[in-house]
Amino acid sequence: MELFRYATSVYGDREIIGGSFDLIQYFVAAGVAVILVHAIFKWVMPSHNNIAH
Amino acid sequence: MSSLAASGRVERHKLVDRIYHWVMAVSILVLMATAFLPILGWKFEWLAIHWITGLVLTAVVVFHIVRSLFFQRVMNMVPDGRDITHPMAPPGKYSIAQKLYHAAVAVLILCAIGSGLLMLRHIDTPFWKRNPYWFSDHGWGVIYSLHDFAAMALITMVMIHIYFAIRPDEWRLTRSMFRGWMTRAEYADHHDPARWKPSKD
Repeated sequence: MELFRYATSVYGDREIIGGSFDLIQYFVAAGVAVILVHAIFKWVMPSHNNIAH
Repeated sequence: MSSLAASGRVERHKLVDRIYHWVMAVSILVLMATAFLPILGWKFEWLAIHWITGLVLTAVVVFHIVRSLFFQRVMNMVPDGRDITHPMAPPGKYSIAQKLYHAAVAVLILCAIGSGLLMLRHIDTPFWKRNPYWFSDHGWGVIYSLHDFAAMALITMVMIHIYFAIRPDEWRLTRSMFRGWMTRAEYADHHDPARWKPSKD
């Protein structure tokens, strides 16, 4: 898995041209993970639904 | 006594702030759609929509920064000592989680806007011709990378934001972003009046 996208310049050098869009799936997975962890926590610990009480 | 107070409601977001929020929300969603749908295979003329929407986002973010700094209590959104020592206690206007989320989104959006404004020099528009020699190839690569990583991280943040917005136990906050108010009972249940006095917002 690459972190960046690369291209070859007119001088033959390998240059970074941006972030790798293969990483999109990992950012989506991170969002799903946060949501699942929070939802499970709220489901298991319903007394924490209202932090003021 | 204001009509809101008379009706037992507490003002949380003024109309101008709600308009800002929703213009920003639509802008972000349009920017994400025009950025990522072509990558996922949906081919359409996305570039003009993207940079024009980016300028709209830039304008409303500048408006928000000025309004926050000079016309609102900016400290409402800054973590304070009590947020650290008593993170589960009733918060002021915003909880520590909301403040940290806002800080993270602010960094990502400012990064996307800053890099995006520089990237405008890389494209032709009705107002200027492209000048790819502003930076070296490596410099442009770094700018594009910052833009790409900020945009991808915003996917995570938008997912989390929408999740909390539709949770039933957070519905009072979502409603307040539509209607502007929360009930006095919700205010008493979820906020520390010593840390947030709505009339002094």
